[in-house]
Amino acid sequence: SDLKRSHNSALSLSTVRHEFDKKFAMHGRKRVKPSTEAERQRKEKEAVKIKEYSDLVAACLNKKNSKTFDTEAFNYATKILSQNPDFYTIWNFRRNTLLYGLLKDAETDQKQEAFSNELVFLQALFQLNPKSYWIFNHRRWCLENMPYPDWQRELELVGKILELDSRNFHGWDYRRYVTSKLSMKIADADDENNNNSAESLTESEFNFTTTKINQNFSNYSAWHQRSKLLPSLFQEKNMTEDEKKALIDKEFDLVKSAIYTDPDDQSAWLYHLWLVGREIRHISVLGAYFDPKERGIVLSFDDEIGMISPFLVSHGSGNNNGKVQGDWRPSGGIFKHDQLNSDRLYGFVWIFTPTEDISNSSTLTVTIDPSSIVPSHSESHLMQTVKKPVINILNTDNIAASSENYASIHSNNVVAGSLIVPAPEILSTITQERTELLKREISVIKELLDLEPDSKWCLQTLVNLLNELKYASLLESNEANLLNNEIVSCCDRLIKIDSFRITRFEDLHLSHNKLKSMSFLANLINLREVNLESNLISRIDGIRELRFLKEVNLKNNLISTFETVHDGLLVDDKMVSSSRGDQEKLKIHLAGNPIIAANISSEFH
Amino acid sequence: MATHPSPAEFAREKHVSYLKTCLEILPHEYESSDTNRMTFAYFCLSGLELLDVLDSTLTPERRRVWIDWIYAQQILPNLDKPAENEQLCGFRGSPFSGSKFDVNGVRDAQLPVDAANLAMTYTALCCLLLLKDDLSRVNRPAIINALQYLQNEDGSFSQTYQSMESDIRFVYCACAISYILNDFSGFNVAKVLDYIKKSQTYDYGIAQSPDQESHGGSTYCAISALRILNRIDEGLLSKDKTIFWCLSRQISGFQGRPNKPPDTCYSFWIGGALKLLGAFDLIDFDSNRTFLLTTQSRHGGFSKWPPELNRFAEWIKYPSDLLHTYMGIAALSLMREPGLVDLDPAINISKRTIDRLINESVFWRE
Repeated sequence: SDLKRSHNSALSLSTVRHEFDKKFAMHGRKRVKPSTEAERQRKEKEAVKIKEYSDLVAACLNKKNSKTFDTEAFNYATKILSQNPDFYTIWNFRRNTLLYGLLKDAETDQKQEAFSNELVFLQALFQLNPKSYWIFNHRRWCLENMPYPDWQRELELVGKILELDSRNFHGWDYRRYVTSKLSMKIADADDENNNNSAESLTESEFNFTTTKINQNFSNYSAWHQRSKLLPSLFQEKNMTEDEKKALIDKEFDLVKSAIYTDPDDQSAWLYHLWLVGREIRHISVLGAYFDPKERGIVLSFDDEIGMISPFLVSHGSGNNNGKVQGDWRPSGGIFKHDQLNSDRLYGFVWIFTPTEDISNSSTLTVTIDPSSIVPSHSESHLMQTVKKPVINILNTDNIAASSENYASIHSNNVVAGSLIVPAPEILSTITQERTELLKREISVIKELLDLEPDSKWCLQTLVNLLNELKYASLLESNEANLLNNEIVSCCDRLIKIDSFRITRFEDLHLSHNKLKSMSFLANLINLREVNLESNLISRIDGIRELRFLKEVNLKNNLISTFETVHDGLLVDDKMVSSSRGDQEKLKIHLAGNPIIAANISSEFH
Repeated sequence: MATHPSPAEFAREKHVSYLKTCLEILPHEYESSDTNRMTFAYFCLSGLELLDVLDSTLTPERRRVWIDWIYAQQILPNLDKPAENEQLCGFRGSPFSGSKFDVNGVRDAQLPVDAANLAMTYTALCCLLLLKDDLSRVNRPAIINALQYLQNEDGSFSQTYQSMESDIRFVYCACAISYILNDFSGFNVAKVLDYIKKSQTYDYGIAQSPDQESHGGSTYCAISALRILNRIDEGLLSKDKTIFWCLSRQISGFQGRPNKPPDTCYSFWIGGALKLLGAFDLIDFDSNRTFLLTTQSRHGGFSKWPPELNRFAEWIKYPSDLLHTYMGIAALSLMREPGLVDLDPAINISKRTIDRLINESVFWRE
């Protein structure tokens, strides 16, 4: 009853605390300008409150230091926390007060009542602070320490929290905690009877997310929760491959409804991306040649790779002949600490320098063992493959570069652990099924694209799907070429829609490039400096709207006329500068152009 | 139709004035966050530094007094029994616990009332650097030693000893602290990498902890931690897809999660993450800047949202606060707004302050 009284006083104090609620400082509340009289009164009230508060803390500390975990101490904690919920050590103190003081020798009933009151206290505070860590933490502590926690009731409570705000991630996190406790409790009970119930909890949670999604397709938190539950469902129900596939197909149906309802909504698209998932990432040898100057082999990859053990280089064609002694090094390599816990050099381009005489071999062969390569990106793990790429390189002074025998080191995407993506596991194993899936989804998206030709998400998703389909075909084949064309046309459309996402250039060096026009600069809206010296440019063009541009070097071009870049041009014999209001002048260097030779003077405006 | 009430240009003088005022006295709404006071000091000082007026704001006397105040929040090993409170060492946010004020720090901290807090240690070190202190009074061994008590089995960190709150935010703080003090021996890096990997979700964003939704703030914390540890490639399951997730957060300004409205601070959290991933140039600078300017308050500072019209065609304005003010300025600095100094996106203070750390502070110059 002592505890109950202190709880009640806490509730009345917390209404007073409204005035001091700092949460609104961070979360937005309309500010009302007070009159000076009201201001003065408020300050007076505050001074009283401040003294009260300081006395409280001092008293609490005394209790703490003397290890007096009594009712009074508990009440102090209540008052302080009602006003200052972030005072994290007082929460610890409160827990200690309960454990070592008030409930130390308590009966089970007393304990149950005390903790129940704690939960009521927390519920009141929650109204003011729905997004606070400490409420949920203290709640968990109470439930874990009380004799008879009612997890079912907690589940209902968190359901209400998510009604209020379906994106409250504290709520979702708490829900996962509660359901895990519930499932443990069910499993603990008679196994025979309740085995099915534990599994059905995952299912009922899964259905909960379905409800949330159907209420509002934009409920990203619900989609996210689903991504966690789907793999669990597979596991728990020991599904056959067919059953898994059937469930995934239903997922695709749900996503399809969502993207048709609102093609601009990210949630469904990102979930779709995950469902389709599994990008097969290859590491390819882009080219290999013998460099007569280096007297060595140059090999280039499309990923920054590390070499675990050196690639075998042998005389002649095939790798049956004698090994060539020599050393491999990356060109411009960088050190990285990699997944195999070593510091290793990585590079796109690798060079082999023989340390023995190779003049008798007209051909050299490089054999690349996939297991000797460490890729840069975790997602492109390599596995042993059936084919070991073998590259024949002509050893001759006549051919500066011969790129032959493109070799592709195919890898299956081994996803790190089972952290992400087990759901489409089934989809990766059978190539033909995967190809069918890709084609089916491609046609679904294309249908939607017909209805919504400007949907950027449609186009992005389509590009991803087509790109992967390409890997299913042979490289260089007709099919792959057709797919490439489609991809390029999608990208063109995307560029038009999403035209502001242009890579930002600040400084450009383009001297000695035989450029005839500079109008392309118009797109580079953030350009500050550009060097176009010694080109073939005949007209100053494209820089009118570039408001950050400070300097343009156009020496030694073919400029014989120019247009006004802003009002007010000043000319001297080396430089044209213009003023743009209060900003710095733009400098354009024109030495060595016909226009200067023609001796334009300052009377030109 | 009423004109938009926010200033159309970057109102730097108003922000300078707002930050200076807060430095003198915090508005009363901040009372109940007194345990976090150090972070408010950091927002003010770092904000003024980015606005390039910090030097002219501080007198040598002021500087000395504030440096002393910060050191007075340092919790040191107990004089007679140092092992007794080693888990508590570091900096706290303010003298909220009522202990005696001593510019040499706290020498008799009691479990668990007076404890250091990782976020406060991080911001305290930043404040000291901004005030041009050389960190010579920082007890590095004590702070680094305390980290092992704050790291949990799963690799995450609690913000304070025995706290139930542990997630990726404090992983970031631990990494930033170790960087500033130039000592990474205090925690298990492999477990941190594991935790970060497990916190990536199906959409390749990064959540605050495993199982949670991916979120802009935690994405920044994870990527920044990886950058500090120099393990970005190893720690991210797919750098490209994470970049894609980050870029998809831009819808004028940036949102923290899909289908949420844009909020000033995410221009920093997501912008900073993209900067660290080398993909910052792919954002739309103009939209971002335009959005940020609309969240400025007429009274100085930035709020989280721009004003909106209610059904009576009246403007609802949101008040500015220190966090969003600082984040707005930091986000503009990432885009190299004229008049702002360059920002180091990993530690989140000006680049020249990091230069000073490396050249002049006691833990680096040796």
